[in-house]
Amino acid sequence: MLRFAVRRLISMVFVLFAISVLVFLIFNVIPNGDPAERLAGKTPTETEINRIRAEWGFNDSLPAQYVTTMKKVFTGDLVSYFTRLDVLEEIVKGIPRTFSLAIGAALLWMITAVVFGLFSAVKAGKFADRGLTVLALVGISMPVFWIGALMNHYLGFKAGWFPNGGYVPITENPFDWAYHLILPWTALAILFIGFYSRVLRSNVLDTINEDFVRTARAKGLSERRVLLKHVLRNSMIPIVTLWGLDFGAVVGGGAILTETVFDLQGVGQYAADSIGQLDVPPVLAITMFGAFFIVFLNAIVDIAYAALDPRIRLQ
Amino acid sequence: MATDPAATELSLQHPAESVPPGAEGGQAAAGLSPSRLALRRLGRNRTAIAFGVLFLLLVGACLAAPLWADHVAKTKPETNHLTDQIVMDGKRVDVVSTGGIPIGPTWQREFFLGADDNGRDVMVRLLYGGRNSLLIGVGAALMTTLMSIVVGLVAGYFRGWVDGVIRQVLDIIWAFPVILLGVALGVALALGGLKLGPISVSGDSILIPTLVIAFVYVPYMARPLRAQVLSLREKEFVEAARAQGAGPLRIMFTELLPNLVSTILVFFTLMVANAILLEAALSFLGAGVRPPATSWGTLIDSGVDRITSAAHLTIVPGVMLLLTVLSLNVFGDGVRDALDPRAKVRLEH
Repeated sequence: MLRFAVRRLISMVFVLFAISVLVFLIFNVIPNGDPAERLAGKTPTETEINRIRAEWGFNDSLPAQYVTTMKKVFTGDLVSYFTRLDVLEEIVKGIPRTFSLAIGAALLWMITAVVFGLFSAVKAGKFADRGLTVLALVGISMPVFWIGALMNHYLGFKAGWFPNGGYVPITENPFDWAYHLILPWTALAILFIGFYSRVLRSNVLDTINEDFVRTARAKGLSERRVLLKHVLRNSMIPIVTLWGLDFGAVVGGGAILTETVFDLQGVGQYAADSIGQLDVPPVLAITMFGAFFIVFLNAIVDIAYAALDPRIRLQ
Repeated sequence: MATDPAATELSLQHPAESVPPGAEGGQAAAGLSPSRLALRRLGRNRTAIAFGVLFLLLVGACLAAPLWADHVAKTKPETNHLTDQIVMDGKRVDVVSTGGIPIGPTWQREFFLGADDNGRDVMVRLLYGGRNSLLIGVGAALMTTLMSIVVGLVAGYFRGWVDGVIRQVLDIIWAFPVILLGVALGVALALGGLKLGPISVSGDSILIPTLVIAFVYVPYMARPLRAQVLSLREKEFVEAARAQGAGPLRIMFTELLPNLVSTILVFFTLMVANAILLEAALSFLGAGVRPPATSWGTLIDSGVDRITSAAHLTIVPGVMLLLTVLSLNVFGDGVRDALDPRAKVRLEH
């Protein structure tokens, strides 16, 4: 177990390094032309371009530029090219918002998907099952920003049932916090409810024919107990794995669309704004942050998986 | 990675509903090839066929965009009608009101689905934009498929360090949130265009989002293909081919590739659906299709800005996108159930 964890850690560091290089290259090599000219505005003078070049180290070789940038990431004095604001400070400001969105949405999609998936499996082939299957497919076929914008307009703006965007810190007023986040949570959760309920449905249908379920029924356990204690618990393992990975993906940038539509000003929206301006430092830091989350949760899920299911540890 | 999400989605079908390929249709099925049997199973799935037809109708409608524009709506996608009036129920109505609010769906030949802020016909723009969305979706899915086939075959066949390097690269791309990588690449490429040797693509070409989308989805398809090649290459028929003196290229493309076809087909349909969705997301964030070109993504993007005054500008392209992606998803499910009910396919947005 310890050796496994150490190996995971080493590969994690390697992947993060490779990601930082990749992001750096995307923004410094792919765009043709001089970044200093882009920074200098519309009508730059020669001296101003030279000044910017020296200031940001654009005259150095690429590896040297990379090292300078990464040093700044780790010492925390990375500043945005454009706004001159401290990048880490801005990210820290966005983290509670992004986490509030991700945690609520993750709980919502998990609970809803388990209810839908189990119900669908129990009613397999019946009308209710077909209806839920269609709903799930509709859910995964909608762009999140589209349904988000419609919800915001019709439920928030027109009906006035929900606040029109905005964010209230949980420390200030937990009720208002949740009230402001209901629409973003729902919008973000819809896609995942579609995926998860389908996966759970097929897992339950696979498990229901296993011998241990027949044994449980033969023992005279109630159908409810068989379903919840025996079938559901065994069908949940792959779902929990997905849950960890998707939570990481949502925190690490997957919420970029939801945050933008509801103007939550989280990390994702910061990334979207910075990318639009080709502001390399924030994008580099946010992508590192996002990749860290994804890789980290991957490792956690692997280890948790091994701890939960002894059969995996044996392999 | 041990917890590949691709390994967790299983068949949608109830075990009792699925027919084992061997027990198909009694006597008549005995002489049929597996692909014939699959087609027959697909043909029996009425829902899948209905949605497949719906998709073809949507494609047909977009292809017929010039016909609608010239003969029904009598306008071009970029023609403004700011000061024009049309006749509705015998009364003359402004296309764009003096307050700047465009007309909603009229359900008649002109402005069937309403107008936008500049008085342009939404129906015409929708059909023309759909051409780009579909082109990007199908183009990106084709490119992803080709790249994944090559990568999967090479990694799975040669194993060893080649496989090690490829797997590591795929894992790195996979660790990126799809949308962040897509947006980053989209913006960077749009700035100066793409110059690779003799190939030069201008920054506002729709080839840029196509390439970006194709690239970010490669790991999702290449990883399962590679895993399949790894197990296929140990089979007797590969050994037999090798004993006959077949080289690596021959084994990869004439022995292994045909065995991957069902997985590839299943992936392809779902890949088109996801590519269309990702195009919309990238365009919404300003990293996809660039003006003056339009797509359903750019239409939704500009619609969302005006949602309070003219909600139809958001609803119309979104519903079109939803119908297209939904039809592909339902049809793709049917293809999977017909070809290989146990296929493990899952894509992310």
